[in-house]
Parts: sequence; C-alpha cells; structure tokens
Amino acid sequence: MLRQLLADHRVLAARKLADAVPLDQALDESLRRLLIVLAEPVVRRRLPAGPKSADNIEWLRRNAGSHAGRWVALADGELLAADESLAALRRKLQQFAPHVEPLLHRL
Amino acid sequence: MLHRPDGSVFASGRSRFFDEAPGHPSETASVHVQVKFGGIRVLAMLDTGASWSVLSADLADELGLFDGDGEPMTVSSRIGTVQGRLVRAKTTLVADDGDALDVDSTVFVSRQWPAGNFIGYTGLLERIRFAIDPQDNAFIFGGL
Repeated sequence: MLRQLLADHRVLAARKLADAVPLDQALDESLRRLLIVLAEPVVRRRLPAGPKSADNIEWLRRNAGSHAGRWVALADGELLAADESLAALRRKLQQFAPHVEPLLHRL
Repeated sequence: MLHRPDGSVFASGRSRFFDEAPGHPSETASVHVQVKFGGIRVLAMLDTGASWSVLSADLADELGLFDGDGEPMTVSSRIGTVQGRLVRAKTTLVADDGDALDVDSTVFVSRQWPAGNFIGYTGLLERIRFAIDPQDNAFIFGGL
C-alpha cells in the first residue's frame, strides 16, 4: 500500500500512512528503507557561509564554451583543473588542491 | 535578510544563482543554485515542479549512491520516464552570506538520468523557506 502510494506520487498520503509505523518498530528491512526515504527532509544545522561565488560565476560566463563536455573545478574565479571524468577530476584535486572546496560543473 | 510579518527571520542564508545552465544555453531563463551533495559543490536547477531532487548520474556514481540501499522508483519528467531509486542524502544549501543549511533529504538517482542536477520540492524544499530576487540573482533561504 505504501509503495503503491509512493509510486503514484501520493507522498502526503504515504507519509500519513507511514506515521502509523514508527521507524524503530519496523522490523522488515525493506520497510525501514522505505520509511527512511519517505520521511520529511530535516534541516540539521546551520553553517557559516563559504567563499563568495561571484568570481566563479563570472568565470563560467566567460569560459563556458572553452571546455565543452568537460568537468571543471573552480575556486576564487580560477580554474583549478578540468577533465572529462568527474572521478578523474576529483583525483587530480585531491593530489594538487586537497584543502580547497571548489565548485565542480560539467560544461 | 528577509523577515516574516511577525518579525521572525524568514531566511538565514543568501547566494548568487545563475539564470541559465553554464555551457548549456537555453531560450528560457532558469534558476541554478549552488548546493553540495555529499560534500561536493555543484550547481542544481531549482525546480519546484520536480517530484524529487535528482542528481546527475556522474555525481551519484561518484558519491556511491548506486551501491547502497534505496527505494526503487520510476520518475516521469520532461526528459522521459526513468527508473532509479530514492535514497537519503545530505544536501547543503550553500551561502555566500549568512548561514548555509545542511539538510537530510531524499533524492532520486538513476544511471539512466541524462541531465544535470535538480533540487525539487518533495524531499528537500518542502522544509525550506526560499525566495528569489531576480534583480540581484539572489537565492535567499532558511530552514523551517
């Protein structure tokens, strides 16, 4: 019943039904997984703001055409690395800029 | 920051958004905001009409979201009908000013998904207050 409601995108009805089954009392593992994804989102914490994005935005506006089809990594408006593979890009970043949290985007 | 009529804070964070997907020009404007999925900072299109938030297949793969548990799901969209799974993931709404927000959210992942990242209402935005200021390309947000 729950799965059918979810498949029909009747999420509110599914949640109302799920409220009758506390997560810690759901012994069936597949039911537990369903209850987890059905749960409302939860705002866990507030964090300080990160680096300003304006410079990265400006780089993307100016250079979107120059790395078509590739993933790029940007920080402070500078290109750190580019690669066709996201996994390979992240390996490069781990090697050369492990403490930077760049913006990654596939052009 | 914005405030509600009773004086309480409406939003706690603010960031700049793109009004098109960089590298993927379109005839219509859209809102692309900065988020982190599993700690990886990317752009995601804001789509309140989307049933669920969706991750690009590359990103979902890199985060290992195809390897774990999740609820099988079929999603119909403008792009087509796609089979995948709903999974629980940590999403961060990134802030240029004020506070970023960490949200335990439900997202849809599929190896068949041909497009980029979307943040949708169910499973994420439904517990977020948010507003758009097109004059400054500002995305303003706060948790309920």
